[in-house]
Amino acid sequence: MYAACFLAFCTGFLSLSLEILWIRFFGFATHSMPQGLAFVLAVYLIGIAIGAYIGKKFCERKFDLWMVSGIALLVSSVCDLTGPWIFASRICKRSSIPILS
Amino acid sequence: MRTSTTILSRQFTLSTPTIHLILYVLFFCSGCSALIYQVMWQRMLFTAFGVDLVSVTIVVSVFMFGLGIGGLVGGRLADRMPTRLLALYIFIELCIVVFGFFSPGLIDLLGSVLFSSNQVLTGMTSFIILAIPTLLMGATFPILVTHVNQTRKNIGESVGGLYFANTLGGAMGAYMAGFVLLYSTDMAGAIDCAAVLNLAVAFTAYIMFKEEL
Repeated sequence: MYAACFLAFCTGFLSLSLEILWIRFFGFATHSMPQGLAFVLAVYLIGIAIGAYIGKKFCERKFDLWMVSGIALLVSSVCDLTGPWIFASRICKRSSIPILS
Repeated sequence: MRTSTTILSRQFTLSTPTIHLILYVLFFCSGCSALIYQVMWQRMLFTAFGVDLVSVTIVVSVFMFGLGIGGLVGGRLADRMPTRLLALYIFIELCIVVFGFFSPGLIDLLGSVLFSSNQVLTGMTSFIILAIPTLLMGATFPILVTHVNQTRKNIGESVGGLYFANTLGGAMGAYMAGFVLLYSTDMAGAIDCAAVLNLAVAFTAYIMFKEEL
């Protein structure tokens, strides 16, 4: 129970820290336009909603939930490491961000 | 919920799934208005601070703080008043409406009073002021979960369904705030829209469930 709470605390801490960083990325790219914040918040919330739905499906079946959590964290850490690089090298080089323009 | 159906009037009754659907839609709208507030309050604090990073950090952390502590307080309230959950939910929504309508003026006042103060004091004051509505928003979740669970009897489904509706509503609110409302009105107008949405939620809940209140 304590381990699950600790894991939830750590993932919450890291995801909100990353959210702030992504808002900063989009803030730089959009010259602090409010659409940057709105876009990051919307994408984060859609991701959380879909993730919660997928998580519920895992909980309904006989999976090793620690293993599932570990794989999810591994995948997210790869995305965390590559995301800013992809954003900087592929998206920011354009004159405007297509999705926000 | 006292029975599996709710009497709307003498002519109509609603089945339990329909009641849950109505609550999901209401909670979707609550989430939508919450994110409109979040985006607009961040812009207003940005105007007051002049620093984007500080205002973003304050708004995101005050929302998380409010949703967490509000959820804890809401859970305690739900345990103490199991028969008045919908009345409590409507009351909280109305409190959010009141704060929403006055928030643009309040943040303007904060900016002018603390104009020459240091960032720590301004930040803390903003945090304390914005903690009030976010605590209220956070309290609605366990209250509605407890209400839905009284008939559904499956806490996983109750939490999952309401959380899903609220989060999707939040995504919709964030999108609306940035890409619709700011193009059609100003920040105070967008906040008024969110407050009207909260008012509509409270009013609809009252009309639909007044026999239970």
